[in-house]
Amino acid sequence: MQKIVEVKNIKKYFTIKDKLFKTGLVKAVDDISFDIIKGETLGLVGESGCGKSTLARMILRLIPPTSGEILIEGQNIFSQTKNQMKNLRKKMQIIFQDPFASLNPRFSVEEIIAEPMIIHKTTAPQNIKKESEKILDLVGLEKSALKRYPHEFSGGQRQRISIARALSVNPEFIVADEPVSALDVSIQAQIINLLREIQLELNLTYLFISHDLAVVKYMSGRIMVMREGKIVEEGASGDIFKNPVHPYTKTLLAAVPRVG
Amino acid sequence: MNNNILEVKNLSTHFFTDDGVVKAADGVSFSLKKGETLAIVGESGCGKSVTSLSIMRLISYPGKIVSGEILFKDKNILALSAEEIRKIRGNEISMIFQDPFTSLNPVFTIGDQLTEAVMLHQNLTANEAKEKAIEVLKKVNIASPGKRMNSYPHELSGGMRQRVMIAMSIICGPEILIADEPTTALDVTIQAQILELMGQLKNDMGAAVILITHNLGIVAGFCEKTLVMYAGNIVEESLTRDIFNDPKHPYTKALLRCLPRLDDSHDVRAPHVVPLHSINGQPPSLINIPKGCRFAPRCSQVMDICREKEPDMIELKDKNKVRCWLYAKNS
Repeated sequence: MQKIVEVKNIKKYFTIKDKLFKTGLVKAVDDISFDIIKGETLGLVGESGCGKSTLARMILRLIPPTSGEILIEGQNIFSQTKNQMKNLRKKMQIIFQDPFASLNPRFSVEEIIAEPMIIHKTTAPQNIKKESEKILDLVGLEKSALKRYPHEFSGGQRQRISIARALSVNPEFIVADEPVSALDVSIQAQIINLLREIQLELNLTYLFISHDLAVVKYMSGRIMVMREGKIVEEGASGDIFKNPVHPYTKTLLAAVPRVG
Repeated sequence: MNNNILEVKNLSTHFFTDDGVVKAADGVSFSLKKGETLAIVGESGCGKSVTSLSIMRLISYPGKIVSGEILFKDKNILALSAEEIRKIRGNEISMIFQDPFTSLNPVFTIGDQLTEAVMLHQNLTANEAKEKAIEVLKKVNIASPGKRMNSYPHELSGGMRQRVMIAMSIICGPEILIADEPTTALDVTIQAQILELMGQLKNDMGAAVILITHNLGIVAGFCEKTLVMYAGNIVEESLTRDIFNDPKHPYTKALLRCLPRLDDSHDVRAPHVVPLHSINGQPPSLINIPKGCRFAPRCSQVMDICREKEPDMIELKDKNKVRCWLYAKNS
């Protein structure tokens, strides 16, 4: 099995000003190691402030770590030059939580989807329009959406645009950071189905982050439970939900209100 | 004597915007018995918050309550003067808001904010009010309440702030407590604590509770009766256990099937997608509500009549009510 992402002893500490002249240390991510296998969905759950977004941002090299290394297809992303990094960035994309904040309101949908293709020169300029239409079709939006602006769309449609943007450079690995948390239940189901469909069609690898245990279970084959910067439990999703081992995982599962 | 403490009759609250009239709540009727726990569920924009704000008379421009009656202890709230409603609001009917991060005033201490309401409503002196405030902080399980009285909201965590919000809403001993998405901004473990606390307080005080939420899981564990709202209307009113075991309205059924469940055993590594049930399309715009049933365009059991005429609430044999043509003949 091919490892697409290898995380080795990664740490991220933030210093904060506690009181005047005093500083504290927040261990947002504290010595975490794991691998992501090509084609799988790795679920990451934990409550707010446990460090899951910090971890995701380091994997995409959006923030530097305090120590440790992260390999994408065997290359350490923190030792890449700017140009080498640009090449790697094509392979990894992110879908953010809030579709209302993560799309530039001054860009039309066409510009939003085309921008990554222009920057990464993945598509010849004359083919960009055709390619954009193809991607829109893949995420279930009409061609006519290209000329419209984000505010004209509902939350679910905007999340489809975010997904289209992520797909525009043919990535192999996508970090989905709470992609359905801001959506209503009926729309949430549409987006979950879409993410699964495109995964199979394009053989994508996901790191799927959510605080909703049922959603993570539905999406992922393997799950990591994170708490206070550490991974407290990791396993096949069926096992974790059937036989949670760590007391925190048990607490978390017990706290979920059940339907029926 | 009428044992309904609150009766909402045909309430319509519309917002007059530049784009047109948004019919946020359009003919909402329901009643609440003394000490009852009622849930209002629905997706964003279905009118659940507008309904609760109308009960509190907190609708402001460009919104307006255009018709209907809200009877609180047989008195029409909508006919009261501003001064009369102020005596009820926060005193006999109080509200817990969704976001504990924005609904507390950052420049006043917890103590200031807690005592304000009691001093206003119950003519207590500053010292008596302070004692009372410490007492309710204890009730909502806040450690060292005396010390916390002097804290500012930013010094507290989300769960603590929501506890303070709850303390504030129960300090005058309300008869109706409206909780608008009280746990949406909180983590699951904190959510469980807050729900447990609310259940405890409800039993202690005997207040009627209206819980507004989009999370069906919370409803299952907490409420006796559930109203399901869709596009400004109530589409189903049933005992909570019937909502989950025997949902009537196609929308309720579809909504329940949309939820991924912790106890299902599907295998994600299967080579094909077993799609999660989803409802196609989106709720209608509340400016141009389509003719006929509001759910018709997304409904899987739609009939000709659904597109023509809006169904009334139909009472079924088991006393549950549903707004759907499927049940028109067997009522």
